[in-house]
Amino acid sequence: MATREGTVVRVQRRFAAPRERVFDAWTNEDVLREWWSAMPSMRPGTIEVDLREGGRYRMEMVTDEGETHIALGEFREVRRPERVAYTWSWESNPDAMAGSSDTLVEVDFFEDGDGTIVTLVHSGFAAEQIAELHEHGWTGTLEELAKHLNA
Amino acid sequence: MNSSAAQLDRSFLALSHPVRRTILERLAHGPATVGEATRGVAVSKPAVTKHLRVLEDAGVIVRHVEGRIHRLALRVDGLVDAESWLDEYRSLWEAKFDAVERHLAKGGKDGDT
Repeated sequence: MATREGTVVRVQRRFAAPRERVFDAWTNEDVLREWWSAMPSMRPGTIEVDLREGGRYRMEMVTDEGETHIALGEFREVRRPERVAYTWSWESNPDAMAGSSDTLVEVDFFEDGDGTIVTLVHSGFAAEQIAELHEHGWTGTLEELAKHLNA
Repeated sequence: MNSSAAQLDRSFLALSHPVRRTILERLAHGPATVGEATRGVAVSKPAVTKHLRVLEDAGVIVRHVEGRIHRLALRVDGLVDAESWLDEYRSLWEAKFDAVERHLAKGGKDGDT
Protein backbone atom coordinates (compact mmCIF):
# COMPACT_ATOMS: atom_id res chain seq x y z
CA MET A 1 0.00 0.00 0.00
CA ALA A 2 1.27 3.46 -0.89
CA THR A 3 0.15 6.95 0.02
CA ARG A 4 1.40 10.36 -0.90
CA GLU A 5 0.84 13.46 1.17
CA GLY A 6 2.12 16.34 -0.92
CA THR A 7 5.80 15.65 -1.36
CA VAL A 8 6.23 12.72 1.05
CA VAL A 9 5.97 9.17 -0.26
CA ARG A 10 4.96 6.31 2.05
CA VAL A 11 4.92 2.69 1.05
CA GLN A 12 4.24 -0.34 3.21
CA ARG A 13 4.44 -4.00 2.31
CA ARG A 14 4.52 -7.27 4.20
CA PHE A 15 6.97 -9.99 3.19
CA ALA A 16 6.73 -13.66 4.15
CA ALA A 17 10.38 -13.79 5.18
CA PRO A 18 12.34 -13.22 8.40
CA ARG A 19 13.45 -9.68 9.14
CA GLU A 20 17.22 -10.25 8.82
CA ARG A 21 16.72 -11.71 5.37
CA VAL A 22 14.56 -8.79 4.23
CA PHE A 23 16.98 -6.23 5.69
CA ASP A 24 19.94 -7.87 3.99
CA ALA A 25 18.10 -8.09 0.67
CA TRP A 26 17.56 -4.33 0.90
CA THR A 27 21.04 -3.31 2.01
CA ASN A 28 23.64 -5.98 1.23
CA GLU A 29 25.33 -5.38 -2.11
CA ASP A 30 25.77 -9.08 -2.84
CA VAL A 31 22.04 -9.69 -2.46
CA LEU A 32 21.09 -6.44 -4.25
CA ARG A 33 23.08 -7.62 -7.29
CA GLU A 34 20.58 -10.48 -7.56
CA TRP A 35 17.41 -8.40 -7.77
CA TRP A 36 17.70 -4.57 -7.55
CA SER A 37 15.00 -3.35 -9.94
CA ALA A 38 11.89 -1.19 -9.96
CA MET A 39 10.00 -3.18 -12.58
CA PRO A 40 10.12 -6.48 -14.46
CA SER A 41 11.79 -4.81 -17.46
CA MET A 42 14.82 -3.75 -15.36
CA ARG A 43 17.76 -5.63 -13.92
CA PRO A 44 20.61 -4.70 -11.59
CA GLY A 45 23.75 -3.09 -13.02
CA THR A 46 26.83 -2.22 -10.98
CA ILE A 47 25.95 -2.07 -7.29
CA GLU A 48 28.26 -0.62 -4.64
CA VAL A 49 27.08 -0.28 -1.05
CA ASP A 50 29.24 0.78 1.90
CA LEU A 51 26.72 -0.04 4.62
CA ARG A 52 27.73 2.10 7.60
CA GLU A 53 26.74 5.53 8.85
CA GLY A 54 28.49 8.03 6.59
CA GLY A 55 29.13 5.32 3.99
CA ARG A 56 27.93 5.83 0.42
CA TYR A 57 26.07 3.73 -2.10
CA ARG A 58 25.71 3.81 -5.88
CA MET A 59 23.26 1.46 -7.54
CA GLU A 60 22.48 0.97 -11.20
CA MET A 61 19.27 -0.34 -12.74
CA VAL A 62 19.43 -1.22 -16.42
CA THR A 63 16.33 -1.34 -18.62
CA ASP A 64 15.71 -3.86 -21.39
CA GLU A 65 16.50 -1.04 -23.84
CA GLY A 66 19.93 -0.65 -22.22
CA GLU A 67 19.17 2.59 -20.42
CA THR A 68 20.96 2.90 -17.06
CA HIS A 69 19.40 4.63 -14.04
CA ILE A 70 21.90 5.36 -11.28
CA ALA A 71 20.81 6.22 -7.74
CA LEU A 72 23.29 7.32 -5.12
CA GLY A 73 23.52 8.75 -1.65
CA GLU A 74 24.93 8.47 1.85
CA PHE A 75 23.79 6.40 4.81
CA ARG A 76 22.56 8.44 7.78
CA GLU A 77 21.39 5.57 10.01
CA VAL A 78 22.28 1.90 9.83
CA ARG A 79 20.74 -0.37 12.46
CA ARG A 80 20.50 -3.93 11.25
CA PRO A 81 17.90 -5.38 11.14
CA GLU A 82 15.50 -2.61 12.22
CA ARG A 83 16.18 0.54 10.31
CA VAL A 84 18.22 2.21 7.63
CA ALA A 85 18.09 5.84 6.45
CA TYR A 86 19.96 7.38 3.55
CA THR A 87 20.01 10.36 1.23
CA TRP A 88 18.87 9.72 -2.33
CA SER A 89 19.51 11.34 -5.68
CA TRP A 90 19.96 10.34 -9.35
CA GLU A 91 23.40 10.51 -10.90
CA SER A 92 22.03 9.52 -14.29
CA ASN A 93 19.32 12.16 -14.38
CA PRO A 94 19.75 15.02 -11.89
CA ASP A 95 16.83 16.83 -13.54
CA ALA A 96 14.57 14.03 -12.34
CA MET A 97 15.02 15.51 -8.89
CA ALA A 98 14.71 19.17 -9.99
CA GLY A 99 15.15 21.31 -6.91
CA SER A 100 15.22 18.39 -4.49
CA SER A 101 18.86 17.30 -4.53
CA ASP A 102 18.96 15.85 -1.03
CA THR A 103 15.90 13.71 -0.43
CA LEU A 104 15.80 11.25 2.46
CA VAL A 105 14.74 7.61 2.42
CA GLU A 106 13.85 5.99 5.77
CA VAL A 107 13.17 2.27 5.77
CA ASP A 108 11.94 0.41 8.86
CA PHE A 109 11.67 -3.35 9.22
CA PHE A 110 9.10 -4.70 11.70
CA GLU A 111 8.65 -8.30 12.74
CA ASP A 112 5.06 -9.38 12.05
CA GLY A 113 4.49 -12.97 13.12
CA ASP A 114 6.69 -15.08 10.84
CA GLY A 115 6.93 -12.26 8.31
CA THR A 116 8.26 -8.73 8.05
CA ILE A 117 6.49 -5.44 7.49
CA VAL A 118 8.59 -2.87 5.66
CA THR A 119 7.70 0.81 5.74
CA LEU A 120 9.47 3.23 3.42
CA VAL A 121 9.15 6.99 3.78
CA HIS A 122 10.81 9.15 1.13
CA SER A 123 10.71 12.87 1.90
CA GLY A 124 12.19 16.15 0.70
CA PHE A 125 10.86 16.30 -2.85
CA ALA A 126 10.46 19.77 -4.32
CA ALA A 127 7.36 18.85 -6.31
CA GLU A 128 4.44 16.49 -5.96
CA GLN A 129 4.94 15.23 -9.51
CA ILE A 130 8.46 14.01 -8.65
CA ALA A 131 7.16 12.38 -5.49
CA GLU A 132 4.54 10.58 -7.57
CA LEU A 133 7.20 9.13 -9.89
CA HIS A 134 9.08 7.82 -6.88
CA GLU A 135 5.92 6.38 -5.36
CA HIS A 136 5.52 4.25 -8.48
CA GLY A 137 9.19 3.37 -8.39
CA TRP A 138 9.19 2.25 -4.77
CA THR A 139 5.96 0.28 -5.15
CA GLY A 140 7.52 -1.56 -8.09
CA THR A 141 10.77 -2.07 -6.22
CA LEU A 142 8.99 -3.70 -3.27
CA GLU A 143 7.16 -5.92 -5.76
CA GLU A 144 10.48 -6.99 -7.28
CA LEU A 145 11.87 -7.61 -3.79
CA ALA A 146 8.88 -9.83 -3.00
CA LYS A 147 9.62 -11.88 -6.13
CA HIS A 148 13.24 -12.24 -5.10
CA LEU A 149 12.33 -13.33 -1.57
CA ASN A 150 9.77 -15.85 -2.85
CA ALA A 151 12.11 -17.27 -5.48
CA MET B 1 -16.56 -17.06 20.30
CA ASN B 2 -14.83 -17.68 16.99
CA SER B 3 -11.48 -16.10 16.20
CA SER B 4 -12.96 -13.59 13.79
CA ALA B 5 -15.35 -12.31 16.48
CA ALA B 6 -12.44 -12.08 18.89
CA GLN B 7 -10.45 -10.15 16.30
CA LEU B 8 -13.37 -7.73 15.85
CA ASP B 9 -13.47 -7.19 19.61
CA ARG B 10 -9.77 -6.36 19.60
CA SER B 11 -10.10 -4.05 16.59
CA PHE B 12 -12.95 -2.00 18.01
CA LEU B 13 -11.36 -1.99 21.45
CA ALA B 14 -8.25 -0.53 19.81
CA LEU B 15 -10.31 2.31 18.34
CA SER B 16 -12.35 2.96 21.47
CA HIS B 17 -10.02 5.33 23.29
CA PRO B 18 -9.00 8.88 22.30
CA VAL B 19 -5.35 8.29 23.24
CA ARG B 20 -5.18 5.21 21.01
CA ARG B 21 -6.87 7.04 18.15
CA THR B 22 -4.37 9.89 18.53
CA ILE B 23 -1.50 7.41 18.27
CA LEU B 24 -3.03 5.82 15.15
CA GLU B 25 -3.62 9.22 13.55
CA ARG B 26 0.01 10.17 14.09
CA LEU B 27 1.30 6.86 12.76
CA ALA B 28 -0.81 7.38 9.65
CA HIS B 29 1.87 9.91 8.66
CA GLY B 30 4.62 7.31 8.94
CA PRO B 31 6.53 5.38 11.60
CA ALA B 32 7.34 7.31 14.79
CA THR B 33 9.02 6.75 18.12
CA VAL B 34 6.78 6.22 21.15
CA GLY B 35 7.75 9.73 22.27
CA GLU B 36 6.72 11.26 18.96
CA ALA B 37 3.50 9.27 18.77
CA THR B 38 2.39 10.29 22.26
CA ARG B 39 3.78 13.84 22.50
CA GLY B 40 1.38 16.17 24.28
CA VAL B 41 -0.90 13.32 25.29
CA ALA B 42 -1.73 13.83 28.96
CA VAL B 43 -1.32 10.29 30.26
CA SER B 44 1.31 8.52 32.37
CA LYS B 45 4.00 6.27 30.92
CA PRO B 46 2.37 3.11 32.31
CA ALA B 47 -0.90 4.17 30.67
CA VAL B 48 0.91 4.69 27.35
CA THR B 49 2.42 1.22 27.70
CA LYS B 50 -1.06 -0.22 28.25
CA HIS B 51 -2.53 1.58 25.24
CA LEU B 52 0.31 0.39 23.02
CA ARG B 53 -0.27 -3.19 24.14
CA VAL B 54 -3.96 -2.93 23.20
CA LEU B 55 -2.99 -1.63 19.76
CA GLU B 56 -0.38 -4.36 19.28
CA ASP B 57 -2.76 -7.11 20.42
CA ALA B 58 -5.29 -5.88 17.87
CA GLY B 59 -2.63 -6.07 15.16
CA VAL B 60 -3.05 -2.43 14.17
CA ILE B 61 0.50 -1.40 15.04
CA VAL B 62 3.91 -3.04 14.93
CA ARG B 63 7.00 -2.02 16.88
CA HIS B 64 10.75 -2.47 16.76
CA VAL B 65 13.27 -1.67 19.44
CA GLU B 66 16.66 -0.03 18.93
CA GLY B 67 18.26 0.17 22.35
CA ARG B 68 15.96 2.48 24.27
CA ILE B 69 14.12 3.75 21.20
CA HIS B 70 10.84 2.01 20.44
CA ARG B 71 9.63 2.80 16.95
CA LEU B 72 6.00 2.20 15.97
CA ALA B 73 4.25 1.82 12.64
CA LEU B 74 0.69 1.46 11.55
CA ARG B 75 -0.02 -2.02 10.22
CA VAL B 76 -2.12 -1.01 7.25
CA ASP B 77 -3.93 -4.36 7.01
CA GLY B 78 -4.71 -4.30 10.73
CA LEU B 79 -8.26 -3.04 10.51
CA VAL B 80 -9.35 -5.08 7.49
CA ASP B 81 -11.72 -7.28 9.54
CA ALA B 82 -13.37 -4.26 11.14
CA GLU B 83 -13.69 -2.56 7.75
CA SER B 84 -15.38 -5.53 6.13
CA TRP B 85 -17.72 -5.88 9.11
CA LEU B 86 -18.77 -2.24 8.69
CA ASP B 87 -18.97 -2.64 4.92
CA GLU B 88 -21.30 -5.57 5.26
CA TYR B 89 -23.81 -3.52 7.25
CA ARG B 90 -23.42 -0.48 5.09
CA SER B 91 -24.15 -2.52 1.98
CA LEU B 92 -27.24 -4.05 3.65
CA TRP B 93 -28.58 -0.59 4.25
CA GLU B 94 -27.59 0.65 0.83
CA ALA B 95 -29.50 -2.29 -0.64
CA LYS B 96 -32.53 -1.36 1.49
CA PHE B 97 -32.41 2.23 0.28
CA ASP B 98 -32.09 1.02 -3.31
CA ALA B 99 -35.30 -0.93 -2.79
CA VAL B 100 -37.01 2.14 -1.36
CA GLU B 101 -35.85 4.20 -4.34
CA ARG B 102 -37.15 1.62 -6.79
CA HIS B 103 -40.44 1.61 -4.93
CA LEU B 104 -40.68 5.41 -4.98
CA ALA B 105 -39.73 5.52 -8.65
CA LYS B 106 -42.70 3.35 -9.40
CA GLY B 107 -44.88 5.95 -7.72
CA GLY B 108 -45.22 3.96 -4.51
CA LYS B 109 -48.44 2.38 -5.73
CA ASP B 110 -47.40 -1.24 -5.65
CA GLY B 111 -47.22 -1.69 -1.91
CA ASP B 112 -44.55 -3.82 -0.26
CA THR B 113 -42.90 -6.53 -2.27
